This record gives sequence, structure tokens and C-alpha cells, in this order.
Amino acid sequence: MPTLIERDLAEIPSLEADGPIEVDAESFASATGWELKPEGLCRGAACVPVKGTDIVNEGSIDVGAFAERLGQSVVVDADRGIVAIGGDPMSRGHGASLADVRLPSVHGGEVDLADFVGKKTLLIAWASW
Amino acid sequence: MTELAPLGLQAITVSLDDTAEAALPWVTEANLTLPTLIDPNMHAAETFGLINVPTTVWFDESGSMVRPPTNAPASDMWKEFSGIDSEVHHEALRAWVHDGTIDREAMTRWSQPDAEDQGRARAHRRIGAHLHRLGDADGARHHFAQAAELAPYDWTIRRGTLPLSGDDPFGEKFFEFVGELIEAGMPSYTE
Repeated sequence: MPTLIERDLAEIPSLEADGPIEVDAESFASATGWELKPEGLCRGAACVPVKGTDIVNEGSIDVGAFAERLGQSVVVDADRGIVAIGGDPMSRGHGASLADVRLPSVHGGEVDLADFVGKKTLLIAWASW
Repeated sequence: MTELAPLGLQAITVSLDDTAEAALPWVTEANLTLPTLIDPNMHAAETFGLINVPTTVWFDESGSMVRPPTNAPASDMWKEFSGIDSEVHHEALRAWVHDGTIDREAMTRWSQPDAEDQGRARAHRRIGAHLHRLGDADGARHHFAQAAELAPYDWTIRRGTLPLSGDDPFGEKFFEFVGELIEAGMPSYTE
């Protein structure tokens, strides 16, 4: 089955090279963390209103429309059945928050960075490369 | 940290490595007691605009990002190469933790080095990393190449994907990248 990739992965029912990419809300939430709520699509500290937009149609998320709303990009590899969303803080304006992010721990398990809210936090990014 | 933790600063570390296995030897050797997280899908990297390591990001008590990502080497080993003085960052950090001193305009001035499409580059990198994990080396290389073209000064792409392509992070491709950076006037490095 085709795969949608953002911060995580989810299998999606279908993927065409051209045409809209519609994903059920549950799979979309699995792949991206954006959950459909009455307020809109919400992740961490942010909610994106969807009423009056073409982002949600009968419980399905139009991936392209949502990406556009956030100033993000969608790349489709139709031959391999993969679609990925990619973004950049510049396109969303400033205002990122610890609560926007959830990451695996190197020792296993997952950590919600919202847990660190309350004190000044220094995040140190590094890599073995 | 021993100086600043009693004043209310906490620190977390995030590895931009592809797997916990890649990061673990370093974590073990450094004997870190700080939270050690990993970002294999570039989620924090995308959210906080990380394009290189080592980099620091500051968040205030409400969890809001208050300073653009800063290249912050721990020592001055790379000072000549990057032009960055690590003591400048240490002093700014002390001032912020001690007195709350912070340049509030820095976030609005924040701009990243030229990329044709940073978001698209990240999407290609995601696909490449996924294909690498599936064992599709050709597919991975194809997407990493697309990502590199779209964001040529992004170290998480130009250097970070080299181990995934079977290339040496200190080899020819890396030095090609360095040459481009130097020619472009070191665009990866901000204040």
C-alpha cells in the first residue's frame, strides 16, 4: 500500500501521480500528528481552522490543500508509492513551540517536548556526522 | 550547565542521526544525563529550522522559540573554518539565564540561507531516508540528490545523508560541499 510520510509514516489506500491526494483523518493523524477536531486540524500548540476551506471533505484530508495552507510542499513518488510532506518554519512565520514536537528517546519510548515547558530550555542538536 | 541549571535552565539534546544505533555510541561515551532524543524524520529539524549541527535553540518559560538556531560549537576547533566564536554564544546564554537579556528582534530578522525550496527538499529527504531503510539504495540516492539540489546549503542533507548513501561524511562529496559553501560566503552560518 502507498505510504504518506511526514514526522511518522502511515499507509494510505491509494496514490495517483496526478490528482488530489485524499487521506482519511486517522491515517493523516498517524503520519503527521495533525488531528481533526471541531476547532480544525490540531497538533501540539497549534490548530488550523478548516471550516470554509477545501482541506477536509467528508472526513478525508486533502493533503495538497493542507500543505498549501501551511506553506509546505508535497512530493510524490508515484512509481514507488510514496508521498511526503516537507516544510520550513519560514513559510509558517515564526512562533515555533516546544509543544509542537514529539520525539523518540535514544533509549526507547517517546517524549513530548511539551513536558519541558515551564523553564528556560536549551535544545542542543548534534549528529554523529 | 552546572553554572546555569540552578538558575532555571534545563537542556535537552537531539540527535539528527537516522537511527538510535548511530547516536548511541556517542551518548554512551559522553555519559549524558540530559534527555537524549533522536530526530530520524527531521521533525524537530523542520519545526525549528535546523540545517546544521551542532546547533542550539532557546525556548522561554512558555515553550516559545525565542532565538534563531545558532551554530554553537562547544570549542573553537572549527572557529577558523566557520568564523564563529563559541564564547559569544556562551556569554549570550549566561546573560539570558541570569538577567533575561535577549534580542527580541532576532526572531524577526531570522532568515535561512538560500534554498530553492527548503520544504520540498525536506520532503525529498524524507522519502530518501525511508527508501534507504527499505533497502532501495537507488531510490534513496535519487531523492537525496533532488533534496541537495533544492537546498544546497542544508548540512542535514549535504552531509547528513552521506552515511545513508554509503558515502564517507569526510570524503570527496563532503569536500565538494565545503567548496561550494566557501564560494558562496559560508551561507549556513548565521549570527
